[in-house]
Amino acid sequence: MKRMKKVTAMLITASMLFGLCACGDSSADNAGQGAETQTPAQESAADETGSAAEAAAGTKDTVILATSGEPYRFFAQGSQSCAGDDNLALSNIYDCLLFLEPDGSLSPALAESYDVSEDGLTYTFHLRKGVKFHNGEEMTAEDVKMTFDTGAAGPIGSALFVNYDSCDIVDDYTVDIHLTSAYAAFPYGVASRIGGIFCKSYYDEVGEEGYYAAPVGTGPYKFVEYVKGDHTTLEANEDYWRGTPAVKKVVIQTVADTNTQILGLQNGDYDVVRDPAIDVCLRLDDPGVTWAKENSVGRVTMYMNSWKEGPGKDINFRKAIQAAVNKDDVNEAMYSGEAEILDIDVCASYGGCPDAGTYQVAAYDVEAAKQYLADSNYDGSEWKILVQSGSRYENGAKVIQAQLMSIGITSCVVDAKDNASYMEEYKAREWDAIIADNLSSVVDADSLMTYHSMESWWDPAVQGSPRDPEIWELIQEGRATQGDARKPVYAKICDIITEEAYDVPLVNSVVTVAYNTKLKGMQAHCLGNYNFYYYSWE
Amino acid sequence: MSWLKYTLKRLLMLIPVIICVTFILYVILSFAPGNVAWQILGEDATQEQIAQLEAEMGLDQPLLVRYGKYMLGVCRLDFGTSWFGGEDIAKLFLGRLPFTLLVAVLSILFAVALGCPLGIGSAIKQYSLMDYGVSFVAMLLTSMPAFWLGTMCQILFCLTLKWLPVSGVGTWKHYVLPSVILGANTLASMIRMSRTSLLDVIRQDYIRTARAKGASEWKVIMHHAMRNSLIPIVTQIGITFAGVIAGAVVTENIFAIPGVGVLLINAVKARDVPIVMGTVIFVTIIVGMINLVVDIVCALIDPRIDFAS
Repeated sequence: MKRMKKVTAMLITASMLFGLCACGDSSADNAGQGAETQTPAQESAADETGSAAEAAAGTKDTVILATSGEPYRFFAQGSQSCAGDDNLALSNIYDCLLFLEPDGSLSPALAESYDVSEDGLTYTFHLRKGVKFHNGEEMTAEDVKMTFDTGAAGPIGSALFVNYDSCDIVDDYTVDIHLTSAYAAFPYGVASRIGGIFCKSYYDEVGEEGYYAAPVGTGPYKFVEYVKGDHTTLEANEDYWRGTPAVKKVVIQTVADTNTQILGLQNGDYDVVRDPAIDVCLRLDDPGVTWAKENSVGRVTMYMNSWKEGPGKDINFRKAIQAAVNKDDVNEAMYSGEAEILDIDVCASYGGCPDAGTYQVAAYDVEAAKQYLADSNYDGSEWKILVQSGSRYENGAKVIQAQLMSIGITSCVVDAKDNASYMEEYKAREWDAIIADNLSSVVDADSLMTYHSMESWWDPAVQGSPRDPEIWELIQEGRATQGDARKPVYAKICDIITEEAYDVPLVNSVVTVAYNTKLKGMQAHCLGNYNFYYYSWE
Repeated sequence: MSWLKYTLKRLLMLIPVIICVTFILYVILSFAPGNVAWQILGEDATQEQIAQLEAEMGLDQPLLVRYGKYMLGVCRLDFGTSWFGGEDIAKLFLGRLPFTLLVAVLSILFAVALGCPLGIGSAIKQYSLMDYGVSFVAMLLTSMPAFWLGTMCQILFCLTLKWLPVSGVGTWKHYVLPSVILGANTLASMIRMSRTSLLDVIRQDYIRTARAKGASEWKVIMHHAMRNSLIPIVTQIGITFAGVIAGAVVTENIFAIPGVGVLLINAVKARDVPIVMGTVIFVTIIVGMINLVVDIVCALIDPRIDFAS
């Protein structure tokens, strides 16, 4: 009886353990892509020949990019918003009518050229002939119209296809895009992620969900698979209109730990590391690894709340802060001193950026800051700077906090929040100040409007205390003006912002990339895009 | 057939545990800041679009209604889909589980295979140089955080010695460092637990009796002492295994293992409630089953344990 009990108990134990293992096994079958699909990055790394050895032998045709944020939305015009991480894949699967080059300039892509009507209300795009989608169908004006109509109606349409009204098909290879009112920066929207042309007939066949799951574009790489939390695989489009890419396979590998990314790069597990911290790059001392940086199209600025009751409502208090911030120290804390200091909330690469010397610059002056503070009605009330926790902006905010303490603002608090909480507070506009990197797909001085327009999504706060109406009028004027004539308009806006001390522009943010020295064609892109098409192994 | 009743009873006890755990979690998640609809649609979405999506996701309904609907779905084995990627939760979890299980099992094996002999040796040679040495190692392993130890091992074994890959999965080499790092803390526990447990047993009267009867030291330790000292060790293995399954986040992060820990932590950060809920339910079931297995194994080792009682 005792033996029987033992045997039965053993059987139960064994069956439970088997059940656990069976869960694991079946998972691979169920997931189809989870467990069974071995991580290509690791397959490569584990291979006896190894990543580095293959590169040395000149036989490697795969690139493995390590990133902490993974792309997961592979269709930009859908009902779900997509962001910078998605751009890693989107910018290689889809082509736009215009390319945004690494330095922020525009060049012809699926449109060989474009014209703008005199009133700035109509853009005529002349499309390239013979461009094929990944499914073999030819791209025509119908696809372009569908892309713009769908994209404009989506959640990021109003931000990137600003003032879009309609798209008329002139012929198979010409479209007229009409705007409701002039918007000189419209071409940047055309070159943004929602400008990636998708295939109308395929969309009609599979719908939005189908397009998210298996995207089809005209870009240099075809989508192969996405394994959540692990990797995305792309393969070269052999029929690409600019020629077959040299790198046949690209794996976007999710590696959460930034130390592991760099160690993996040095060990040959990965070939490219996306946007490593600049201080890490500066410390890299390995002949097999190199890195590059580029001024991004983002401004790191501290925006101050002037519409909410509190110290920030007083212009003297804001001016005290404006004069007390030593941007060099902030730059050191955020970018090891490698970023360019901003005097205005506009990057030098932006269309319409005013020339230096044509706008006012707020000087760093501690004595003046103390005087402004003495003239203000600051009573020691708490003044919070909202930042994302763990970000470089938190470091910058702490430096600013110390600088403000030195002039007598002892109640400054750095309010570091996790991403979800930060986004909610950001949207509520209840912060006293916020330090953010405005990485703008619309590479234009019009991006100033984010914190200064009266027409925005944060209506409840704006209704209470709208920002400067004069700025909004000038923004409209800048939109309706073409060419260099826009620069004085934006200089005027910047002057108002400086005089009113609405914000403290800090630095032009920097994008970095670290990579295997044998990988050629690497370039840091101002928007953080990765053009795998230009990559090749030495 | 009391064992069968016992097993059934323990399995049934999992149901209220799951309900309690999921309810508490659901309430906490519902109060966590962060508007999911807004995160899905992007910062440029209008209030109307946000409201429409919230209605589609059922987020406009009262908390209890939402929880009730979710649990009804769970009863039908429908754990929902990810809010941010649309993947089926069960498939997502089961796709990740093998990686976590493998690393967990290997780490426990490593800890037990090394920790038990070291602990036993320490106990037999109490207050010897070896005992002090092993105790020091155990203290060292407990003190070193996984993220630091992991990075140091990556530098030594991957970059300097070029023996192992830095991260990922795929071959046996990929699992060496994660298993050792994840098992380092458990190894320390095993050393201390087996040492303490054996020391406790060898002071018992029946051990003295065995020695008095002239049994060899080897026989006394291996035959009389070991078996009884195993019970707390097996219990400890069960507890540790459950902890390892649920908390392999750090190791998975450092070594880029696409396991359950990373899935869960990313879902919490993104407020992807269906993934968090589904993962926690699965982990609760696994932990419950492991505890059950541990109890059964303990009964196998110790005849004094009776299911009926």
